[in-house]
Amino acid sequence: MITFVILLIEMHMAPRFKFSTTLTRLTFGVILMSLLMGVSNKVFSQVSQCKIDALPTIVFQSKSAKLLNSAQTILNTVSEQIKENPLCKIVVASYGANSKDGQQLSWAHVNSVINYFVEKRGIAADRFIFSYGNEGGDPTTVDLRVAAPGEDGPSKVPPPFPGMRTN
Amino acid sequence: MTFSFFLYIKSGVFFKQLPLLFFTCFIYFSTTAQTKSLPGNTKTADASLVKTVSIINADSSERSAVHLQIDQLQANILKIIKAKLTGKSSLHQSDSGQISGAVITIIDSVQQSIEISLALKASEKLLQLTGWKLLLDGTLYAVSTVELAPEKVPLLFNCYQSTLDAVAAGNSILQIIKANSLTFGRIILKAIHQENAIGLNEGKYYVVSKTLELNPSNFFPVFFDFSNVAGADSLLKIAARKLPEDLYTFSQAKNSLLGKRISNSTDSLVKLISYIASFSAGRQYFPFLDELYHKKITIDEIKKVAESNNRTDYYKLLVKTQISYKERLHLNDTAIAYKATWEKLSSIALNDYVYEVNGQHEFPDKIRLKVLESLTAPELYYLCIAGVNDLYTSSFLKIYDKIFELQQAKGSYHLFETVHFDYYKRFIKMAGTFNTLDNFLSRMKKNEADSVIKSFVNGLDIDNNFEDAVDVADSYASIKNEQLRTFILNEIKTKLPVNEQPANNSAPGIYEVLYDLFLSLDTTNHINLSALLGIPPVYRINNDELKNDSGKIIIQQFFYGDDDGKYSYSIFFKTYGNPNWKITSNKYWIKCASQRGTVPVEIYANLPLDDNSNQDLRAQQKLSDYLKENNLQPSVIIHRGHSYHVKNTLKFLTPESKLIFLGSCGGYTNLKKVFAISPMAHLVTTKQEGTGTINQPMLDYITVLLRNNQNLDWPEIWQILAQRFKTNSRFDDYVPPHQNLGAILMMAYYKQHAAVKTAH
Repeated sequence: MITFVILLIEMHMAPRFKFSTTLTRLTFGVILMSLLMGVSNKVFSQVSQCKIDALPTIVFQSKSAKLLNSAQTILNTVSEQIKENPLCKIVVASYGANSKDGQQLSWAHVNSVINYFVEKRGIAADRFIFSYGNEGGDPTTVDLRVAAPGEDGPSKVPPPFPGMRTN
Repeated sequence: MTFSFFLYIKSGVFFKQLPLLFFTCFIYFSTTAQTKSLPGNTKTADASLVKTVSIINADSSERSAVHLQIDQLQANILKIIKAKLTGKSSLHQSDSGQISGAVITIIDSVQQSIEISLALKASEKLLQLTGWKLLLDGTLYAVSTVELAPEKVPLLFNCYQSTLDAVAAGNSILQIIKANSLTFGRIILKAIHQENAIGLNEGKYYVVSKTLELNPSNFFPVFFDFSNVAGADSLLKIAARKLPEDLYTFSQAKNSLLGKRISNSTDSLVKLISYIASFSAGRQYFPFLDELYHKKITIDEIKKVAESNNRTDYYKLLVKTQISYKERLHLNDTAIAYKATWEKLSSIALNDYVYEVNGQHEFPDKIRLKVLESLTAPELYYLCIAGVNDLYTSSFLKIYDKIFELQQAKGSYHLFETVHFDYYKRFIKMAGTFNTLDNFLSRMKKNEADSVIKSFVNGLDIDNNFEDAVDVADSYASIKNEQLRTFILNEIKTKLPVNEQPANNSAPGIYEVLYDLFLSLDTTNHINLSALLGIPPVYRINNDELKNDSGKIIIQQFFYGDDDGKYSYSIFFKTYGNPNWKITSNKYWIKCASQRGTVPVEIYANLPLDDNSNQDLRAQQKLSDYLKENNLQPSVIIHRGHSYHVKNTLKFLTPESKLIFLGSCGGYTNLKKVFAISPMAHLVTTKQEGTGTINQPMLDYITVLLRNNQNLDWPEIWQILAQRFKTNSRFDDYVPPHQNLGAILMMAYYKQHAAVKTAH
């Protein structure tokens, strides 16, 4: 298939340009592949019927689940994107898997973000997937991303350690 | 282009894909070389190439881009098909290959035939390619979800080609759309670019209206694609009554065609939903949609409670609305967005109250229950209902007590009447699980209790009601009132088949099993449940069954690092600190090996290390790994901790777990987990919170029996323990395996299930 496309482009350019050397052909092939990778990533992100390109990260103050004013401003903007794309589900993911209070804080972060979307921006709760206690990320942040086709999960989960209270 | 290439190299992806690049280049060179070397072909080929180039000259870059997109979609579809078909036993490897092959062949030949066609203009080629691209887009989405089975993909492509042929021939496409599934219809119609195609609009209307009728949850996503369909306004009107939640969400897409259509609708309900959805706090108003629509409440009245800082008033309004909706439901009048009201009530109940009361379980009641101060009995009742899977045992009991502090002489039946029997079965089940059912029923008149119980045990033989049957079995065991027990038994008896002799090979019905279970609690009936239900003995476990290959009995105890766990551990440690046991330990666990008796018993327990940093869980894992590596699989599992830690202990169960002490296990959900792993395990549970004053002496007594090679005869053990704890009323909350009716029912169910599986 790729060969076919290369051939097509070569045919198109043929009257004006000839690939006379092997090196030129190789370079062209590689450049085309690089373009193809770029295009393919873009294409893949579009197949989910969801037209939201990228979503931001929300930052919290250390050991707090209270949304900062700056975070609220970001969420307000994101809300409009989410509302305009009713076919999209949004994964709200936070980090902190190593300790119980870390997991509880991670839960509280996601809970704050989803509650804000629902109660302050009027978006239905079932548009969100609650994902806390993930490994590998910054525990003061919450990442928002568009759910892949078929990806699903609860919009509400119970707090893992409610005794470990957060601000 | 160069910059993009530089980034690509820098990202490291280039090096990973280097072999692929060389392979691609190799194919490229060989193909071009072959073309050149074909004898007598050069000129013809060159001529056709020149012709093709001149045709696509104006927009070939656009077509190239579409080809690339098609290739990528094709690859992604193949990837998903492969992933979905892997492990699908109903398909052979060759079937999977055929499906993938068809996807490759059909799409490749379509691309090539469009490209080499001399009949198509460049713009037509682009349109056709774009149509196929849209088809693949829809296919990829549908095959990624559960909408489209991978096996159907080649058929979908062929169907699309037939539709294109019909369009080209000037025939109507409606029959093709009607003859296929709604999913096919949706994907195909989205990919038809000829707006004047005969039957296109009728086809769209057919797909949209049929989806509303047959698969309403998918209606708005489909309608979103075809919102310009004729008759859209009347469909919207129906959808507003049937799917108000979805209408709310889709009306928020103000700039979409559908969003504009919704905002222009003249229907009063559509307008109201769209109006509420435009508020920034619209979700706070939506639960009152029906009341607003019928002008029983105003936006301003809701605003006062919804947007104030006093969340209690908002919760109270939700409860009031829920009760009034339930009252109307008895008159067959379902409120619009009834479900949304319950969901909001439930969400506030959990977030603002249940998690708070759970979270402060180590604080005195004055602090822990402060948040409940201004709530009435029905408002507290709904906290229990919403918290069915979340309330800690102690939280339920505190709320239960508070309900009847407020309810006083009005009694429990009055409470049910006040809430119009909303979720009353759930409340009875919870009362049964937490051993307050006797108390609850004693707060109503006998005839009232009889009628409540009668409807509680009704309808258990209807499909998929097994969970309710387990709850009934569980609840029965917690009723001590003999009169009530007799009433239930008689009620169940009326539901037994008239012909006492079951048909050959047919499994007994649920009421027959329940009847036998309930009779078995009275030992004078001499019912042998094991023989009757075909399950292993529930009255005893032989000592030999608990021994491993080396003749040892291995016990594993799970401790947690909170204050309660540390205290339990200290009692445990003291108990075994005597010459009957030899204690060894390391930094994660302790081992107590019996020094007396004829059967070697080894008790392994993790240390209650720091819970915040999960060191306690780490110690449990380390111990479990050690036991596994050394072939010391425990046959006895003992959970020592709060009810909310049970879910963690359950993770360590294995099919070898034969006797499990679970503490307060919280009903059906946990039982289901236990029996899914260890279907024939004996369970010792508590109906309320366990207590150290019973747990440790009970376990101590049982380990002595095991050490002395004695079998565990539950009726006898329970009689002795009842005598020993006769001054401790908490012992009544403990349930031995032979009286754990919910667990026995579950055991019978799994046994029956396994038999059916084997028969097939």
